[in-house]
Amino acid sequence: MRDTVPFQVTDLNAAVPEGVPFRWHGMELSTGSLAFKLDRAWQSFGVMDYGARKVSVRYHVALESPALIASFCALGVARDMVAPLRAVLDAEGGILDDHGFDGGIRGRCEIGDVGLLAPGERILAEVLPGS
Amino acid sequence: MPVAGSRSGAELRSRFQAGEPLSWNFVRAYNRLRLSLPPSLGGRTVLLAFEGSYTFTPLARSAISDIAESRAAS
Repeated sequence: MRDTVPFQVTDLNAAVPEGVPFRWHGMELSTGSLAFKLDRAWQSFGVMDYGARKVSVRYHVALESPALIASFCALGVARDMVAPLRAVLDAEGGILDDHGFDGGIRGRCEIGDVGLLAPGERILAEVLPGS
Repeated sequence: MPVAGSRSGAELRSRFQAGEPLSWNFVRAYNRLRLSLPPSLGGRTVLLAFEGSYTFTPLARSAISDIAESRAAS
């Protein structure tokens, strides 16, 4: 059996149903439900290393918020300013005996350009280890 | 948490090593995303629970070099 198994992430469906509150031009808004899917413009790969009992993976993610797009369109904001965000998550985790991951898969996320932000600003994101 | 049915961790590993796709669920009480917004969006840092699933599909061993190239390109 192979101790090191490369793999492709072939599906990702994650959601934050409650959304994220934020302020924009003095208005208190919410993103509404957020959906995280694979960014199919890229392939997402990883390696399962059973010898080291460690998995590492790079997810290319598209973050969609239909409610946010609808809200901004109603405010007259150009649709391309709230186009789906693209992000890259470099994650890792320890492989447990039940084939779960110790502390979950966690890592930092680089989020691509967001039209709503001022020049030089970025959104910072990190998937935290489970407790 | 792997979507395992009644299969043990050893069986899941064996099947994955043999090339069978394997899925995991995000556990809402366990998986969290910390998001820090810049000043133009209010400057908040929020902790979000997420739910859902993901699937890994094994590739041939020779794909490791392709993965390294892909990561370098992205």
